[in-house]
Amino acid sequence: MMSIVSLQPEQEVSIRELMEITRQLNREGQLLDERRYSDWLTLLTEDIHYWAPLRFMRQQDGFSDDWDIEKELSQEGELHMSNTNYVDLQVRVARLNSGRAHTENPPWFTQRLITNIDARKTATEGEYEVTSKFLLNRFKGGFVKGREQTIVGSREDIWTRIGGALRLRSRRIIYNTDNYRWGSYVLM
Amino acid sequence: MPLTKFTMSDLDALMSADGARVSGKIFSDQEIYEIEREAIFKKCWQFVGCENQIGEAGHFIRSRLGEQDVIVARAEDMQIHVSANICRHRGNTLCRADQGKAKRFTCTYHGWSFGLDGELKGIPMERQLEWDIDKSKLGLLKAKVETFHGLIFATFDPDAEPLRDFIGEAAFYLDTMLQRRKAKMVVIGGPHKWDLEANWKSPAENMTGDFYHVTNSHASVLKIYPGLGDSIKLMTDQAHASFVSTEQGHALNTFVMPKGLPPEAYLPIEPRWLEKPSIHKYFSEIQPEAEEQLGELRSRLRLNTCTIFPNLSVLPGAFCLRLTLPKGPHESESWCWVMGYDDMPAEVRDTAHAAYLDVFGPDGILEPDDAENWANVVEGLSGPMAKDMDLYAGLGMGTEISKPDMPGIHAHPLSEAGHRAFYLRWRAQIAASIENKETGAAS
Repeated sequence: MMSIVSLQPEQEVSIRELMEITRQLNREGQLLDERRYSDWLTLLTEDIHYWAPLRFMRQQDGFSDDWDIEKELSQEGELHMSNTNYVDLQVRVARLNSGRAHTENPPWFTQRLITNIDARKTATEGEYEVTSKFLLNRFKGGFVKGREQTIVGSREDIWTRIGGALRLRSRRIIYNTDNYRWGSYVLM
Repeated sequence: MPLTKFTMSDLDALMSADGARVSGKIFSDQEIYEIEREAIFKKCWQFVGCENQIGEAGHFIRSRLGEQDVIVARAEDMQIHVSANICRHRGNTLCRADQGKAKRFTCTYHGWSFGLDGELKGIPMERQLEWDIDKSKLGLLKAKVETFHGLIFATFDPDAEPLRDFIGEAAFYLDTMLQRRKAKMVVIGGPHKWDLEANWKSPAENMTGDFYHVTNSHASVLKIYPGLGDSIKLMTDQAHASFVSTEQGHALNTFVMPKGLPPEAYLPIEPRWLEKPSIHKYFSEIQPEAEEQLGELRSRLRLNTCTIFPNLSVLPGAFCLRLTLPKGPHESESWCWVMGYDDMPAEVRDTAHAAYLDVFGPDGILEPDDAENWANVVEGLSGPMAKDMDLYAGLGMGTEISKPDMPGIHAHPLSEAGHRAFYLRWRAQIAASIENKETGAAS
C-alpha cells in the first residue's frame, strides 16, 4: 500500500505543492458533483489506470505479521471490482452523456467529501504519490423510501505535471466494504 | 398469511394458470415472501459455488441457500459438504471468513468445533466435566449436495429429486457452455456481490432471456455502440432464435448461428476483445473441439441468457454465472462469478475478466440500468393499489412451437415465454407445498 506514514527526506513536498494537490483533488470532486464528466476526463492522462480491487473477509492467523490489508485485496491477474483504462472511462462518460442512462435521469444528488490528503514525491520529476480518503453521499428521492447511500473509501493516486497542470495517471480505490455494494457505480 | 393457511384459491388469485397474469403483490408482500422462503428456498436445488473454488481438501467458501448462510467445504476424502453456518450449541455464526482453508470450524463463543463434513468433533472440557453429550446428534444442519459439470448445487430438502432431473431439459443448452471443451470450465474470478433494491424475482425472470427490454433499458449503450443494435436484431430473428421454456421451469434465450462462419464467431465473445493475435488464436481453437464435444448443431447454438429456477442465471457472453439471493420482499443481493477454462493463459484470463467487467461488472455499462429498473419495480408496487393489480407477462403467447432436434418449447425470442415458464414453476412449488400440507394433515 501507498503510505505516507514513513517518508524519506527526498520525498518531502513543500506546503505550496501540497496546497496545489489538495486544490486539484477538491476541484476534481467538484467537477463530478456538478456532473461535468467530460471536463473530468481532461484531468486524466491517456495512459491512466483507474481501478478498484475486490476485498474479502479473510481469517488471519491472529498475529500482527498477518494483518496486512493487501492480503484482503485482489492482486494483479485477479478479478478486481473495477479495472479501467482511458478508453473504458471515455465509454462510461459517453454513456452518462447519452441522455439515456436511466440511473442518472433523474440524477442522484451527490456530495463528495475529500479528506486526509497527503503527498510525496516519486523518483520521477513532477510526479507525486497522493493519498486521500473520501465520503460520498448520494440521494435519490422515492415515495416509499428515499434512496440514500454513503460510500466511503481511500485512494492511492499518481498525479503528474504535464504542461503546467497536474493530471491523474493512476488511481487505486479501496472501498470500505467487502465488495461494491451499490447497484450503480459512481466515479470517485 | 403463513403457508399453513394459504390455499389453492389464494394462489389462483395471485397468478393465472398460464403464468401470463401475476399479481403485483408477489413483488412487495412480506407474507408472500415468507411463503417463497418455505416453498422455494427450502425446497429447490440452488447453486452455491464451483468445485474449483474448493479444489483441495480443507478448502471452504461461504455461500447462501436463500437467506441461509452456508459453509461449502471439501473434506479430507474430497467429498463436498454444505452445512448451515450455525453452531449447534448457542447458535453463533460459526465461520466468519468468506473463503479459506481449515481442518475444523471452531466456534468463537465456547469453542465447539465441527469437521469439514459438519460433524461435531470437539467440546472443550468434555473429559474434565464428564457430562454425557451425544455428539452425533449435534452436527451442523446438512444440505443435500450434488454437482453438475463442476457447479455445486445444494438443497435443505432431503427428498429432493436427483439434480440431473431437476435441471432436466436445460442441460442440453447448458452443456454448450459447460461442456464445450475437454478443458474444465472453472471460476476465474469473484464472486462480485452487490445489493439490489429489488425483489429477487425481477433479476431472475429478466435473465431467463428478456430481450424485449434491451433496446429501451439499455438505450444509453445502443447510443454509444450502434453496432450492438445489429447484433441484437440478429439474436432476436425468429428464424434462428427462440425463447425456450422447459418443463422444469428453467428458461433461456438461444440462437442457432449459421454454418461456415470463422471459428471464433461461434463463441459469445465480441470481436473487439479478439484483436490481439494470441487471444484470437486461443478462442478460434475452441470451435473444432466444440463440434466434437457437442455435435455439429449444438456447437453452433449460442446460449444468450438462462435462468435455472429459482435464482441461478447464466450469461455466457459475459463469461458469468449470476445468483440472485433474496433478502426480504424489497431487497436482494446479486453474486457474480466469472467463468473461464482451467487452461487459460494469464492474458486470456485477463481478457475474460475485462469482457465481463465492461458489461456486467459493478461498473459495467449494462448493469446499472437493470438495477435501476428493478428498484423501480419495488417502488412502483409498494403503493396500496398494487396489491390488487395484475401485471402482464403475456407477450408472444401463441408463438410457441416444438423443434424436433432441440428440447423445450420454443417461442418468439422477444416474447415473455421464459417469464411465464418461471412463474409456472413458482406456482407449482407453492401448489406442491399446499398439497403436502393438506396430505400431511389428513394422515
